[in-house]
Amino acid sequence: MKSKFVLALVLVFLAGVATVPSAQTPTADQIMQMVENRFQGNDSQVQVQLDTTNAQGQTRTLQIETKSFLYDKQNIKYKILVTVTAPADLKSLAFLVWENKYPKPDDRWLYQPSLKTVKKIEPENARTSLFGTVFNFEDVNGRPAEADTHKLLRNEPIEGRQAWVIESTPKNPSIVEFSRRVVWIDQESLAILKEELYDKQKGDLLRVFKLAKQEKIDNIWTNLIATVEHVQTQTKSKYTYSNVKYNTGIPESAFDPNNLGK
Amino acid sequence: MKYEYALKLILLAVFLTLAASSGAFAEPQKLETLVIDETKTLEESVCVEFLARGLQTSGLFELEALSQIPREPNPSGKPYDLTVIVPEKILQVWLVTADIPARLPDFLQRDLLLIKEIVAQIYNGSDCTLRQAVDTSDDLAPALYAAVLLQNGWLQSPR
Repeated sequence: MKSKFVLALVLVFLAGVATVPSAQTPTADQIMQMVENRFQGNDSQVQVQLDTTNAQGQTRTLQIETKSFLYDKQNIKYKILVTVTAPADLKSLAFLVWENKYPKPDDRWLYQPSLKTVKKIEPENARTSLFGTVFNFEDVNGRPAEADTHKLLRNEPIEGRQAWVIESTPKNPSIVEFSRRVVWIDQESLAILKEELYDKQKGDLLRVFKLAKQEKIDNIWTNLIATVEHVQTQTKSKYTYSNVKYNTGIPESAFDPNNLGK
Repeated sequence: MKYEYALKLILLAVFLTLAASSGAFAEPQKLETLVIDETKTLEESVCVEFLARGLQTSGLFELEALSQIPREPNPSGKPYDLTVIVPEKILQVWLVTADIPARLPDFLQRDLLLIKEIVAQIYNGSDCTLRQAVDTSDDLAPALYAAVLLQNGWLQSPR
């Protein structure tokens, strides 16, 4: 009986060692800042396939090409150009984003090829759907660390990777669809391996993001396949990256709204 | 025999010249169409692109675009046959013509019906927020803008 009690005490102690962050562990704010600042190349170019499946099992595929440019001056972090390559009814549509430092909203332009028009898009919530998929812009580009308050819950392995588990609550809940989010952050690559969002109504699970594949390309950890499921609408999206290239010297002029569609 | 052949060739050439000048073999003339896209969000603006693509695919419309309804006279002096306005906040698509559809030529009436079909296909689906196409006899707004655009030289009386 005594030995069982001792064993239980040892197990509780070991469990504590495994889950409670140690003194060397960075704080939740530091981790989220590291995630936001992780180097993604001076520029990058990637082809992305976005597959979205609705509750009835119908799947729609969108193919886009994304170019990004690390600007990091005049309060602008990145300049990102997204061009639709398929399907035909959206081909050549282009979307340009100048990602500003928080809390300034991003600047966005849309090129409508049929009208040969570049129009400025009003600053919107970065959490609106990306071309009808379950992904939003923040899934692809990251959510600013300063937008939330963070709490480190524990360390735990997930899919064979050691992760920090952090709970974040939005500082401005009125502009987001969730009440809190829990993220699993890979301690090596600083990628978000999993994210759970909970709704505002009852705190029920709303959406789950999972990183399915990442690889080092040109020594940069790169997300290659990820899925996101809207649990309540049973709609799922998956992105698959291919032909990822870093530091190819994309000219800054490619990210000028006046050059869209040219 | 040679003369007969040459005469046939000449007659054919004369016939083709006359036919071409009378427009017998010409493609149906496209309607000069001004699309005024007042939408501001990404989702709505993408839907306007769908609409423009639908119009273009029909082969009946030559499109130009503005981002807001012009209040000043048309500087180009080149009026349009038709204006399609996608307002920002009202969930309609306004088909603005110089007169009510019943008094327009048949081809223009047919084209308006086609636009209504295209609008229904795009805005009744799951991708775009529901909008209804209304013309100058359906609603006051397109009728009002028809008067303004006509007066300022943006819209022309039916050909």
